[in-house]
Amino acid sequence: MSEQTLTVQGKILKIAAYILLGTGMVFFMFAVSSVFMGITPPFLDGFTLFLFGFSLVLGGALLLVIAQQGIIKTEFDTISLIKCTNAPDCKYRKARKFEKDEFVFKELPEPCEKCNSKLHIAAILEVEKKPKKKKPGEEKPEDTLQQLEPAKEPADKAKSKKEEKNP
Amino acid sequence: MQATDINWIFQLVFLGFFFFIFFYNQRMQIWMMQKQIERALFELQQMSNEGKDLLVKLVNERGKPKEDPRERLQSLMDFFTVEPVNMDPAGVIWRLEHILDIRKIRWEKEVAQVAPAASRDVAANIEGTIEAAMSVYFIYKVIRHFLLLGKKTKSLILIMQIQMQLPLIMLIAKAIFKALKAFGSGIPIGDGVGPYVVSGLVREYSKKSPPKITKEYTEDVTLIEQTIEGRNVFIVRATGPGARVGKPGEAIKKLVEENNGKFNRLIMIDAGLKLEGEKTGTIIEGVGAVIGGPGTEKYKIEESVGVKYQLPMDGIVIEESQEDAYGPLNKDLVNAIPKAIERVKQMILTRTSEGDNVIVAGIGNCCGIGD
Repeated sequence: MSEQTLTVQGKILKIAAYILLGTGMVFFMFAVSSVFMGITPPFLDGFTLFLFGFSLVLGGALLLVIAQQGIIKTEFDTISLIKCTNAPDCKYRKARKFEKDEFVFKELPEPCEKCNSKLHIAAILEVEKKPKKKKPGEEKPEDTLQQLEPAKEPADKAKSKKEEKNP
Repeated sequence: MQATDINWIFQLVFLGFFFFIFFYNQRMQIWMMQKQIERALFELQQMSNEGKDLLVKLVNERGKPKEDPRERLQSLMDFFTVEPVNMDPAGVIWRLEHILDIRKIRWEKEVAQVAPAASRDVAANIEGTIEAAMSVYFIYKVIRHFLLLGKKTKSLILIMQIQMQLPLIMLIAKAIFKALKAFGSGIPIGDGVGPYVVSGLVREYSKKSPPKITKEYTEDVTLIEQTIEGRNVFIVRATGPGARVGKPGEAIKKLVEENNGKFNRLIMIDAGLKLEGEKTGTIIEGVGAVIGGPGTEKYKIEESVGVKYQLPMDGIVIEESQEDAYGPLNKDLVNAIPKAIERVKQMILTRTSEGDNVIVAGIGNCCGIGD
């Protein structure tokens, strides 16, 4: 599933396009006023003003079209969040891509890596796909987990960190 | 060319432009609105076609039909339900329920015919997908109707009323299209937070007190009896993980009547539409029968629990937008689940005493949410 948004470049182009369109319209107004009311800036005649206005409006319209090319689609991924049935005693959590026939509270055949209890699907949800910054091998499913809840550190890890700080 | 000549040209062009705007202003307005509607219609057509393709793929994959299901499914797209006459409102609820019942039976048979190999849960998902595809197709047809009628009659009012409502219509169509995709894959949707919360509650206490589960307590509804904090809690929810909503009102009515109204409180949990500016996943509390739909189930709860036995009814609503309600669960809603469970626990603890009988009902579509 996807939603449409403008990229930053697209947004900048859009603003530039509106500025050009606005300036072009002002030139047009001067051109009209020079013809009907005789108010003409000293350095430009009505025809030149008209030409300037026309080119600016044309340029603005062109930029608007180009800005639309900057539309990017936000992609979404459906993930299954796996937890141990022994939670909250066991903190094991894992997120992976949703697979066919999975549902919330479905018990999985594989046991928990930490306590050997049964695993179940605790949630199935849609998350926004993030642009890949890391190499494919370096991606961690835990990145998605952190969006869901603040992960509590296992007691032993927290202890060792404390010891590091206060030896 | 002299300056005066240019001025003359400008004068003529301007006069021409002035008269053109004077006489064709409305036509231009209609044309611009038409173009806007045509663009939206194209998008709707794409959604409708994609939805139908997804449906055919799902039926072929999971239902193993003997013949090409396209024709049968296309005929289902135009399926209609006539609402009961309400000039004489007496008994309209039961007449409406009857029509909804026969509609459901008809759909189940149609799905069984078109997808004979589908399991009960998959069949429910196919039913949900057909309904969503039908809704998108219906929106497409209505917009097309008004566009063509507006073109035919050159009526500004016809074109204008569609163009002005277009953003809202497109929002609804996109939301339903999201539901279509979710039903097709069996992914939980935002509307399912009610059953999700009650099942989460059951799991939290299942070690202390093993639950007694009665599947099909009433049609498509599961009853779970469990002791929570010393209270006898009767949990009602639609049977999952198929895309069903069941008849929770019927189940609550049956439960109350079987026990001669010996209950102390009814707590209902449901998804509710948020107002713009409110945060998705906000949990709010109130009183009354917290249930949407056509009104038949709400009526049963109000009549049996409220009027007959005078039981207090509490409600917990998890706020979400229409798009969230139809679309797959998102992180805001998933993060709201433990908080909602905590609220239900608090409600049980503070508003009931040990030994009390309490009904907790999780209302919503159970697509992708197991019991």
